[in-house]
Amino acid sequence: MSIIVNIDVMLAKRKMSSGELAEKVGITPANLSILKNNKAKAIRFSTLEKICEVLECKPGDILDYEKK
Amino acid sequence: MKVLGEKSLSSKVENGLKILFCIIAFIDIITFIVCAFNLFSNFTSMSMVENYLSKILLETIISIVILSTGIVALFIIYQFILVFKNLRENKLFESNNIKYLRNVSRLSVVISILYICCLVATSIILRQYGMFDTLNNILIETLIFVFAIVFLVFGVGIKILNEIYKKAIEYKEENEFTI
Repeated sequence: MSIIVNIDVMLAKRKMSSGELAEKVGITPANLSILKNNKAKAIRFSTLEKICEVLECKPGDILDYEKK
Repeated sequence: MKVLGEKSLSSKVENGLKILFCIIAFIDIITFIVCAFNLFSNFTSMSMVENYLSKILLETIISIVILSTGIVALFIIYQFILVFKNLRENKLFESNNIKYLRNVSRLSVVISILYICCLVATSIILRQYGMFDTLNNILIETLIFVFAIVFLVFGVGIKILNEIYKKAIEYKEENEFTI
């Protein structure tokens, strides 16, 4: 996938653990791990919205595009 | 009626296929023994009856085709047993099922090719020895042709179904990795 998910960077900036984020967003740690490892094929707007809300950021801060 | 899982239609079909597998294997062994005995007795008692050689040739070709199609049919049934085993275990969208169905499709085409080869060989022999006019021979040729077409259509049908199945697995994976 050319879309890179940079949740790790934001988590480090906000000093938040993955488990905490998963709990606050309402997704399982396994699904968050899929997102972090760039294995996800798609992300729902509702999930993205919650992640942005919890991490106090914009979608562009989490998602990046890298040409292959 | 339950279609998938334990004690369901698929488990019954799986058991039925296992029985069919044993029956075809048994028939194959019997056919092999009968054909081998027949050919051996034909070659040992080489009396020069009219069209004798052509009859031996025909019998040999038909025996080889029957035996080889029997063996290929065993492989096809085995692949179906594996598919139904997965269905019984509720493993619907397994990538292995694609592999099994692809094998079934290829093996069906192989049977069809075998029948077409048999048809060509028998018609050449029958015409060569002027035995084509009998009703029995025309009937045998028609039957072989029908079998060839049936297996070809079956193989193509399974190939199409396999492609649909492959797409379904792709969609399932996409759905699974949507967060």
